[in-house]
Amino acid sequence: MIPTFLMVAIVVFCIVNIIPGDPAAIAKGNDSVGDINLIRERMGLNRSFLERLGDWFIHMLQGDLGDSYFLGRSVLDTIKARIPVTLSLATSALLVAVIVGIPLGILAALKPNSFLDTSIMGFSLIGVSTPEFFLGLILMFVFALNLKWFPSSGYTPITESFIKWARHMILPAMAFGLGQSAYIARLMRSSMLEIMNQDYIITARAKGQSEVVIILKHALKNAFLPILTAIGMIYALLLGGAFITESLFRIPGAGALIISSIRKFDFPVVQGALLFVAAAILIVNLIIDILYTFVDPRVRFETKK
Amino acid sequence: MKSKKNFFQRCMKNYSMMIGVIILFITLIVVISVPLFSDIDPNKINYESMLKPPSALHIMGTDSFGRDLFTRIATGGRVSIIIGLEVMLGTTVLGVLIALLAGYNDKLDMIIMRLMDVMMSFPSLLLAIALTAVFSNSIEGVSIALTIAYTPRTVRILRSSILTLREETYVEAAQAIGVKPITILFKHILPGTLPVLIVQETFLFAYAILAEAGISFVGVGVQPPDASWGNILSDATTLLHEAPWTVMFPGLAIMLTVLALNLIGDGLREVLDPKRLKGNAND
Repeated sequence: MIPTFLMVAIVVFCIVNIIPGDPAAIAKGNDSVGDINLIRERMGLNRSFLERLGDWFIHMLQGDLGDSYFLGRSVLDTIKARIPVTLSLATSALLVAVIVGIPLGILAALKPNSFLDTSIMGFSLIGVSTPEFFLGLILMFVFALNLKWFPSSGYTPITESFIKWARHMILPAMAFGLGQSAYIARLMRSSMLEIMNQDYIITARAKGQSEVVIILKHALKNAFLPILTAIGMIYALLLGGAFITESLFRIPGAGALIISSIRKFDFPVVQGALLFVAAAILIVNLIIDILYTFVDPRVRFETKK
Repeated sequence: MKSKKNFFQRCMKNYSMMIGVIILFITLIVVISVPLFSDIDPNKINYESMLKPPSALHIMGTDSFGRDLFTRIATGGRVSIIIGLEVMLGTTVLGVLIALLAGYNDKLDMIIMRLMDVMMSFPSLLLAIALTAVFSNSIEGVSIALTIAYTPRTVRILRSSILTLREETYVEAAQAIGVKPITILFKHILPGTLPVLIVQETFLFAYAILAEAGISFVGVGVQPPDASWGNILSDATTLLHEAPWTVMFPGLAIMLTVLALNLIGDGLREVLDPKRLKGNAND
């Protein structure tokens, strides 16, 4: 994981620094007296690409991501304020996806090709085809503008007031999570169907076990394994795709920060924020791998050998 | 795929796939013919007909500049679909080349897969946004950025398919009689990966449309005056209350096209590879 992270860091730096655009020119626009070469020097842009890469890399390893060109703050401070926002959005969306998706998938798998199954799968297909910003706009129209149940945009930190946070978060989390719940439902269904045809389920049925016990005790545990990987992937996807929902609901998260910083060529912030999101995703994957050893004894056995 | 006739017969019997084909066909006709034959200029500003709801004159209503929404969605759809097609072609060509290189040489394979892992550990949309900033936010820039962001997926799927095929008896037989590795790769292994590739690229077409819409929606993709489904919807967000149709129609256009492609992808997967259970359209 660590070599991957270091390579990710280098790739981030390279991509961001070949973006054509001169941050010095933008900074000069703000104060008309400045000499552009002086500004460039202050930003460190007069040095060669490799020098800058080496410098940034060494500082990054020491936990210093440099200073924003325009915000007058260190990159780390800027990102620190934004990361919890994106985390709370992605986590709430993941909760929606899991709470809606898994029961629907199980329901659909209980009677394959029944009316219930076909309609759940139909809805889920529509779900995976609907962009989250379109769903978000529909929800906003119905629940915020017409019914006025929830605010249409904005954000309150959870530490300030849980209820305010939840009221702000519910529409974005639904918009962002429901599409993923459709995907989870599809996966859960196919995983359940596969398990329900296994020999040990037939054995359990043959010895007269009730269907409820079979599903809850024998099938679910094993059907859940592939879903765990999918949940990890989805969480990564949510963390990386949050910027669209953030921009629609005006939530000041890390994704929104990346977008606005790319627009003004604030490269240190873009690099730092991209790096943070990539690191978060690597950590999520690591956690999923560790969880696997708890849920699936076979994985643990192999690693011990 | 036993024969072409058999393939088409099986497709025709797959009703949900046929629905997908019909929706896609209608979308393509609208997107191609309206900009060609309509005499309404999609960018013409007309303050007298601002924010008119759907009527006989403007079947999808007008936007805040009085522009005809239907013409704009059709021209914007052209941009979205062209980007989807370009990404599909680009990832196919790049993906096949890179996967073949990886399948050809084990050392190259290690390097290539490491690189793909690094690229895959980025969220593809954020990568695409950064790359769009590199290549300019024109239609071509967005296509190139999305192609680079999505190629690792194609490479991964193709490579695993190539590795499985390499173990097949007929490949061993070809090696045994001394066929050159390159010939084996192109003539005996590549055709075998075709079903996997076709299904993967159909879904990629759908993702590319969604991704373009997403990055244009936040304003860093295709720029006005070039309309795309993403930026039409983005313009409409502030009009949600007073003119909901300006949001509904472009949103429905994206949704239906992506739905059609997902239906076709699912159908193709069933027809080309009946062994696999249907289910995961997103991986």
